[in-house]
Amino acid sequence: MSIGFVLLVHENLDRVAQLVAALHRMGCKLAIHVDAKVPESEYMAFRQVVDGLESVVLAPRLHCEWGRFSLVEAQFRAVECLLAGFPCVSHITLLSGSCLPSRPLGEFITFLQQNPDTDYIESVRVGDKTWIKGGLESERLSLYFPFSFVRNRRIFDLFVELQRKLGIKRKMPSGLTPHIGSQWWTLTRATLSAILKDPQRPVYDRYFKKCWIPDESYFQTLARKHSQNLKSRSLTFTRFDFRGKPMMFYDDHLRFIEHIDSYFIRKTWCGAKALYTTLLDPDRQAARRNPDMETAFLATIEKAENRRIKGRQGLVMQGQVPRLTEQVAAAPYTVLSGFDHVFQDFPDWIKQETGLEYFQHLFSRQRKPYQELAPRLKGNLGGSPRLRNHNPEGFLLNFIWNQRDDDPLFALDPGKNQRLARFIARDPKARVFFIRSVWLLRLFRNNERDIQALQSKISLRLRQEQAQLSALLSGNAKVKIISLNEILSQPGAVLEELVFELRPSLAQKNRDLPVLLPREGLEEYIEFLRDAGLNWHREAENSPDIVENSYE
Amino acid sequence: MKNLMRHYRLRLLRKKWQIRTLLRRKDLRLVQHSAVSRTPNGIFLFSTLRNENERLPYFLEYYRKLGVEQFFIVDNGSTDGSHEYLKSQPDVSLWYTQASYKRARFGVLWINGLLNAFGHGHWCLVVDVDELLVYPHHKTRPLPALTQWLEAGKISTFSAMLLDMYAKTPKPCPRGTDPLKVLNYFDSGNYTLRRNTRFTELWIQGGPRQRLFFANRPAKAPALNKIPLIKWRKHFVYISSTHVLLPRGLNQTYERGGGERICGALLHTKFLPDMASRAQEELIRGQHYNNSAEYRAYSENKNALAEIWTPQSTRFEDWQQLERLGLISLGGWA
Repeated sequence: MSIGFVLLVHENLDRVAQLVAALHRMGCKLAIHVDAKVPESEYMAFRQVVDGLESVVLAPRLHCEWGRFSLVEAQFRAVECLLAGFPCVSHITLLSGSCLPSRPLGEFITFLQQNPDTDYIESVRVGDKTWIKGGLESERLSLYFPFSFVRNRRIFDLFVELQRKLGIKRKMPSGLTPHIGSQWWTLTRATLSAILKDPQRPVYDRYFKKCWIPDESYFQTLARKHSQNLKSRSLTFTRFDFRGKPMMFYDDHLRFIEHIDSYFIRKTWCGAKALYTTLLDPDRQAARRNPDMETAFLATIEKAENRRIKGRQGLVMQGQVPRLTEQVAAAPYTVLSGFDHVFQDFPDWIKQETGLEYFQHLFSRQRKPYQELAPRLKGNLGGSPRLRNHNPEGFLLNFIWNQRDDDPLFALDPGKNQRLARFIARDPKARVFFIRSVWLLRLFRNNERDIQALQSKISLRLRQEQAQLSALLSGNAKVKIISLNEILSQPGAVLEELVFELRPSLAQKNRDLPVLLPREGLEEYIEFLRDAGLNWHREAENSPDIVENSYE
Repeated sequence: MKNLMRHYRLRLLRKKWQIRTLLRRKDLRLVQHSAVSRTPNGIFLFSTLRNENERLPYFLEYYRKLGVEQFFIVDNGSTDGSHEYLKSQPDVSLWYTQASYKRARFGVLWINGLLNAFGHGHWCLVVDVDELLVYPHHKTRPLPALTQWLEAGKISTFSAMLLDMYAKTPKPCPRGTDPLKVLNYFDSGNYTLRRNTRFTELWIQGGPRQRLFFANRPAKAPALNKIPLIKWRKHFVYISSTHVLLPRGLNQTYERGGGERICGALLHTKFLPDMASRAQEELIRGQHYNNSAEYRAYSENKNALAEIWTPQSTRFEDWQQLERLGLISLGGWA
């Protein structure tokens, strides 16, 4: 009793020769089908290498095309050669020329000898679960596919579309239940002979000839009819990437390969020298399979695929450029608007209470305070204010990306920087605390009494504030609006809420409040404004919805 | 209709650049053909240089190791022995010219010409001698692994942004040794980008050059986006260094609706101690982009080389680090 292999070969014959030599050395019998597309010269060279090996036969060559029945026919030819040429073969394993053993070959042979009557073929009922990555699923078997995908992609697609419209549903020949699964199987001699000698075979072949990718359904379906003891798993590890292409193995995967729960891997990059020398080494020793290593391996694949499919949120880089309106920051962040105009030493206070770094002058218009803050910015983001203003949205996204693990917190002066405020307003990751009418404090501190000038100033400030507020409230950002009166009369309550938002665990603590900036005479000043006919908060009262809306 | 017009205008522009390329063909004089025979899947490297004798040995070694089969080099009047050194290398095909670098659109027309003559159907790498390419897995997977993977995904261009490397304290780099041993810091998080609609290319700016030399006129800072690796076809043209290609679809090396495409970085080893004297010389020659604005900025800020490092600079480790920082991406290559 010995083990047989069927090899489907399309390219890199020198690498295939290495695999053949290794299998032959272990006393395995081989039938090789070389795609007729391989140039004659290359084939002849390969033949010369293989001819000397007595347990290797070459099957008559056929032109193979991906996705079509020619691949199944090539398997028939090779299997027939193998069964006829080597009556002692008990199990037959289908491999491709770019497969390599993930465990020492001796282990595989022992495994099959211990399970003499078992067929290993992944075979999933069509429609039961989504086995296929991208593309057609049950339609592979229920539509007609007379056109080549590779050569006539457009006609292929159009014809599929047409059949869908016409509601075409082919019926599978009676006695078969459609199954689908990995192309790479290990079947017993008995099962394979039964499949090949099935009296219904011409009917089946005719049906599968018009199916799409029959190499993943022919044996999978037929084995269900003929197998006595079928385990639905493939002994070859294959994984399809996001494009539906088989994953490639390279030298850096070596440390994972022996831990993969399979006996072969597909497919190996032809230049992976270390894989070929190590995995085909006749004296190869392998450690016990460690499931953790397999998990780690699958996680690295997952990570790479996630990069391609999802990308990293909040990252704008050469490989990922979301549209400006769809840009979202990398982490939640907090924008404080107006607090520095109400409290003395607010930055120190907030740092002490929450432990968070507060970037007060991140968007300051003045050169000096920004220049002082710049060296604290990670990733050398600092630079000059002009550099920052050159692309403020990009600057903000960079800032959040660089500080994404430390709850970024910064100030944005109310009414200023409308463009950035609009950008922040759109961002669901933003949390804005906005104190209204802080500009009034500035007027008060400068003790502006010139009514003419005040009139234009106030209307400008009101307009700016209004514009910013309506932007903030129409977007996705979480916005809390605080009236000037509220912050001045109950600073404790407002700050408590702020601390709770930033650091929920630190809430409800007795704390010292920051000192309010001097405000003696403010009420008198407001009275003066009112008497002068300058109704500074009228518009605010006219839009009560703004105050209530906002915050949950 | 509007689309058709735009399409046609771009086509005319591409033709114009092809004609320009043809006109500059006469500049180049062949010095030697490489002794190595070219294989159908070989990867070729194209470069224009002037006085790079110090960097050349390591440069050639670095790219040989990555699997470059042959080098096609234009020597623009070197006087420091680069020429003789290149002539002694069997895998280098060498051209010589004393013609104006500026008139050849900063060398791009010469390179276009060579790409058309030798690169058709090959994966071609277009880099300067002070640019070292890193990409995901570059330590374990040579360029052919990358290009075959790209090709299987029907991708024909690969972007790698320029990453300026610098030292904490300026130190010389002995000839033939790895400049990254000396220049082992970079800026990790100050790059911004825009997408230009005309050619759909990206325009990336940032890094130490913008921070130091262009702090007050950021728009003038050098572009860092590059597309150095491409499966060349005869109708392609580079129109502005390796920043922009036509047909413009080739510039789309990025994803717009979520998800990252695979990309790498060109580690730029410009900031070696010889930079000050080079800047002076290049300024006198006046052969560089934008009236040599970059070199003018360098010579105005003589101390820059010592000031370039800050406590926020990041020490270079490996490609995994660049990937974590979001400067390059695996883009699905497991």
